Amino acid sequence: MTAKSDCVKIVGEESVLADKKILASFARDDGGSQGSPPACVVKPRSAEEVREIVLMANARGYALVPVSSGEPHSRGDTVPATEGAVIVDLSGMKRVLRMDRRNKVAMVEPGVTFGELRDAAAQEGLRVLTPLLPRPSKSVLGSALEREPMLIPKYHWDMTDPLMCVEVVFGTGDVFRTGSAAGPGTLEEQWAVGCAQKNPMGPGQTDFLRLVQGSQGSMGIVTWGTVKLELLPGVEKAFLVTADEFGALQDFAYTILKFKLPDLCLILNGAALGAITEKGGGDMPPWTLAYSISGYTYMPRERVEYLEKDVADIASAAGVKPARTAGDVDAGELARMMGAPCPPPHWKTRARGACREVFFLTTLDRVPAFLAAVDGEMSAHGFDARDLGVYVQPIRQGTGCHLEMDFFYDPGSEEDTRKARALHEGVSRACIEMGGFFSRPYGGWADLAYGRAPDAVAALARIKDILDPRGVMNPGRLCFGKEG
Amino acid sequence: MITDAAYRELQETLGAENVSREPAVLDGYTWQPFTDILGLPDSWCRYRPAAVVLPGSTEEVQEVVRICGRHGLQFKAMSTGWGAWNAMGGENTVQIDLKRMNRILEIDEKNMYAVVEPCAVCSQLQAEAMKKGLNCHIIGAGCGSSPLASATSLCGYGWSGLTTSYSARNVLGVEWVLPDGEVLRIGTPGQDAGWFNGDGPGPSLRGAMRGFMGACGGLGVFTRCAVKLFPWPGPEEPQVEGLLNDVTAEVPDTHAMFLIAFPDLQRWADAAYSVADAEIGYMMCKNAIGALVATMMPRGLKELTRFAVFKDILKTLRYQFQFLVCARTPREFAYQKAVLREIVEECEGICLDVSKLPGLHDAFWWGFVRAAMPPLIFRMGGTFGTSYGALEGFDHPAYQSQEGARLKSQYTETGRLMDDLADNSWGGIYEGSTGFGHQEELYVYDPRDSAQLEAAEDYLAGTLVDTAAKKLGPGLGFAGGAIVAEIFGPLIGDYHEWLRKIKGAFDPDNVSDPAFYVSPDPEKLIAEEMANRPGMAQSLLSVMGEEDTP
Repeated sequence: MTAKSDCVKIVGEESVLADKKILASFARDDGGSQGSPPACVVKPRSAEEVREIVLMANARGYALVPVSSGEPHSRGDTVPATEGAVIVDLSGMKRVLRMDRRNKVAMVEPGVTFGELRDAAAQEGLRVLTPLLPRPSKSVLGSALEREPMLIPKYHWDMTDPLMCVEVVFGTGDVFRTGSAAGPGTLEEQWAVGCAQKNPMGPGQTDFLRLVQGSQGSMGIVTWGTVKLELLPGVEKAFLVTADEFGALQDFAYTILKFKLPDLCLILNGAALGAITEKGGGDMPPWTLAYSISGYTYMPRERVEYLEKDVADIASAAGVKPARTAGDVDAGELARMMGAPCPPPHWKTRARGACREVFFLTTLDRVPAFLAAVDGEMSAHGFDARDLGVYVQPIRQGTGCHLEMDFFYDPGSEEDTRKARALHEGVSRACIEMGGFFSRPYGGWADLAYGRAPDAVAALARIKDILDPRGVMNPGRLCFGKEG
Repeated sequence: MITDAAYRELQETLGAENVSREPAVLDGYTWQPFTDILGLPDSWCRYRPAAVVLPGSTEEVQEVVRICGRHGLQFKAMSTGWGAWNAMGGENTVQIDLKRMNRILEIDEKNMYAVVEPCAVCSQLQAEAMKKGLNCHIIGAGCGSSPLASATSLCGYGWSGLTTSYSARNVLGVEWVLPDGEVLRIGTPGQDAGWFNGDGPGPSLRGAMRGFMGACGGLGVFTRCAVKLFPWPGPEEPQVEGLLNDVTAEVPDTHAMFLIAFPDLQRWADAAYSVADAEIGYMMCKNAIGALVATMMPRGLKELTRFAVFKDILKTLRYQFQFLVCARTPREFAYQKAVLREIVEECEGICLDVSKLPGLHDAFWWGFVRAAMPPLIFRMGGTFGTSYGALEGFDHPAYQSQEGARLKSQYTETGRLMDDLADNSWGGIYEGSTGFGHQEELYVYDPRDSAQLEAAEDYLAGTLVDTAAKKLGPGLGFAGGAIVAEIFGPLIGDYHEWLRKIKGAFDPDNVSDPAFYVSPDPEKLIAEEMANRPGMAQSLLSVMGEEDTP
């Protein structure tokens, strides 16, 4: 028996792919990760099929690599680290199982993309909490499980947001529902008494969601999840604040974030803003803080009016000037663009054809120090500073931020590619030395991050041993070995 | 009993002045409120600690834990300690009292978090945070409680949750002494990267540390923790004189308290959803009308409830919230009040602007901002208990509040529990637009009255049966001790078996007292429970007989 024939027994011939070209495409990704071609790609349609696949993997010793988003992949977590793995492609599980306007929550399967959920939510007057310009094939659950930062920090209360509850098939093959979805009762029985699977904690004294989130598929496979939605604004007004130095935006950003005044709130350097808007990086202001203010169902115009005045006062005190445009960039147009998936080519590849990204968590006040270090690294590697896109996303209501440096390069140039790779490594090392927190340690970052946290490695190994004792779930990721 | 050798080691580690096995001292730790959840009516816990120790640092905590492990002792940590959750689960258990570790180590004003030790209390943290325009979450236990304890080890509903969330969701970096004495720093402190983040790298160990409920001392000791802070659009040093109801304060012009009542449950819940959608308010919480009267004039409530007409009048205010606006600017203040009026009109409510009642306003404002009122709840009966309280979309807590009142009325109407008008649910909505919430049903009784004690236990057992039968969230039932995991586990995806594996992985020798977490020996636990709590036994068996979740 082979992995392919085992999978065919579970899902049928038509849902197992073993074409060599397809298999080869999973052995590498656009981020430069190289691995082994899988034995096959299996496309389950239900949680029950997923469970059977996990049980089969335990019985036969196959490695499983869950994938929910479509191509292109770039962070290495979908590339098998071991030979003979089975790709569990969840992109066909596309149902929006429930849309609850009153509780502002949607229950979705892993294959549902941002564009699909956005359309479904809009019909109910709701909006999806998105990361910055996800690619069209990006899975909503995949993004939330990876703790991708979202554009509206005021709705980001805790790191699990916007994910609330999930159904997960652990590496053992056990099916488990997290948070309030766990029970008592079936989902239908819970709905009948007003539940909406909206409490992400527990059940009981363990936060099972947190053990699955951020695990790069190494603990189990999520078969549905509930995500928090928010109201579509009735009135929305967007602004741009520009500055020559990042530091000049800090006080303003801290104050508006503290009081949860803006919806959208992020900071981009000129190259990133130029790539996103396709207006040409050269003429862009060095730094731009983009934000929007909104009114919802109650007195929306009045809300925007008072917010506009209050924010203007804060801006004045901070010595910055909000404007509706900056050069060719229109704030409203930018805000509308950011609420949707990114049309191809992805903005990170628009400037030079490819991009190496370095991102981690820090606080806004530390960003200038990291930028200075990156400047030094770029000089040392002879990298043109104009090809550096910087994206700063305040998270968790301003108590931290995601700092992302995108190094644009020409993949057709060997020298460019070599420089970008070396720079990526140098910047990663420099930033982690400076206290950058690589909370999502893809690829080589895992060694850097876990090398500094041996206690966490030991604790995570105990959790892994409980949820995936045979090590079938995406072996070789994070701090977990390739052997089960 | 603790051996002389073990005791000597503890003394040598901590200094003789920080270790005691004097019976009188030990008894001070053996008396706790809320022991009714253990079936102990008189507040005396079943087990006296073998010794009490007061470590002053993380290193000393580590040493204590290791000494316990070497000598076959269990340990149970407590900080501000209020309730049966601090009680020893068995003989030969050392109480680790963390009261010497009481510092606020850092307040990061810009990034809005504080790093605290276990016995820094909320009033202390709030006072310092307010100086920087910030506020902290304070749980229903009040401002004397430890923010670290609720963040790491217990639960965490509070009046201001609309703005300040729930304790477990406010946790950032954590320092955790594991049951084997090793230190695990979760999140950024684990990489010497500050305290601003508690999740990662990779899967978050916050998930092992706690869930909706904490392990209540069953999985080691938490020695430092960073918690999120929130905006405080009020005075840096509030000018307040007096205590409890007898308070005068300078309330800012942009702050106001409202008492809002609605004609029925549906419109009351609708209003909660509308407030979440509108993103207004600093606090939205129901303190039931019976509870309010009871806290202000307990004898008055006893007199009033003798007359059906007065009860009916009070019950017209059953579906109500206290709503606090704390605006940053006059513009925001005007907007929030206008939207509130619109919501009240839409839901056919009535709104009393308490700011027009100066004496009452001062007491309400400070009482809720400082969470200073919890002591008053003891005035009516001497003690109280709580039930239900699941966190969910607000229709579910609304349903639970109805269930609680329905069940309890059988007791209050017959005088078996204090008459708090039966409807005495407490709680509100949390996290602004998120709008999930909770309602826990309080019950008030006189612990000196054996009939009321019996009724209290009977009522609590009834709520567990009701929870299972109607498929409700167990909520605060999760705080009912390790037995709850065995009762509800089979109804909740066998979560108790996963808990047991985590306990086994992190504490294979069961050194950390599991009484409020999960038992490594469930058969023994159930047998003990049946023997110790015969009154509850039949109810527990009934719940355990429920069918498994499909």
